[in-house]
Amino acid sequence: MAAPVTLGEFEQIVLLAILRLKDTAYAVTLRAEIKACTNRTASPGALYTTLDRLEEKGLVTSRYGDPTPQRGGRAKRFFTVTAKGVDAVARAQRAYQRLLVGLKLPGVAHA
Amino acid sequence: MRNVHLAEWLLSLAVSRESAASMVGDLLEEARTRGTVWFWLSLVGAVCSLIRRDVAGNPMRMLSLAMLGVVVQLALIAAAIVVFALGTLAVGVAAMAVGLVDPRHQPPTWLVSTDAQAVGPFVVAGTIFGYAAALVSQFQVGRVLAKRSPGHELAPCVVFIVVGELVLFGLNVAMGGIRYGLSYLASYQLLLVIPFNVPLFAGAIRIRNGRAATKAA
Repeated sequence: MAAPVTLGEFEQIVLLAILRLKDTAYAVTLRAEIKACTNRTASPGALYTTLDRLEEKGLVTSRYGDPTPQRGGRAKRFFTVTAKGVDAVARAQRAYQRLLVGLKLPGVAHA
Repeated sequence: MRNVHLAEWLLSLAVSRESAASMVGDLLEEARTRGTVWFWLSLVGAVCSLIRRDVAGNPMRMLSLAMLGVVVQLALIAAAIVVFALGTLAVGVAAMAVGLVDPRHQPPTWLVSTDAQAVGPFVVAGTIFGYAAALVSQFQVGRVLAKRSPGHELAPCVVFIVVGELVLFGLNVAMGGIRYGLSYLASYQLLLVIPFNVPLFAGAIRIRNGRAATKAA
């Protein structure tokens, strides 16, 4: 049996942002969503390398949309989280929840 | 006006043409509010991140390829020295055969002068040949490294440059160059990095373009 995939913090953020955006997840909306939810400015380079890495791990898939004029006729690359990706991010979040048990942190609601 | 084709070409050095076009589209979309400087800074940052990812993905492989590059370059330079020596020998023999040079005497001083005011043609030819050999060997090293790293053609070249710079710096220090000061040595090396590594990347890009063309066909 293959070892479970481990995720870094930024990988989890990107996966959760894709899940939140559903069918509209591409680099521009992902950066905006990450900024809105975490107040963190992800550089385009960091985002692209993370998305490529997640795709190599089989945690996300991508497809190209139709070219649009405001992008100089270039297609958007939309991302979707795979079942393996959902499983990996859920496992990581459960681990965080277990670590939080018994702790009282300011502004953090406990499950 | 930003040159989007140049931007797309730069990104296509690290990812597929389709991905590069999509990334440029993303950057163009955001650049409408953020401006041209942001566009180019983000683009260069993205290319650097993608190449760094390729290096970090398999660092030992990249390091061994860089070492192979050093060996190939040393072999090519040694071959160039042999070719130059044989070439000058042949010219000398030919000159003696037609009576231009007397074998009983030393070569005329004007021929081999290293005086800055009147550098001898032999020294000029040797210098030009040396630079040409260095540039050609860099091009060949780029090709060799790219052939062995499909999909990540530029990553071993970057590691090769870093290794080469460290070796060169070590040699410069060992040969007493440190007396000019560390900053002088570092800036001297950095000045040489750009012209001497253009052919290295050109060789690697040629292989990458060849692969992309084969794939497209």
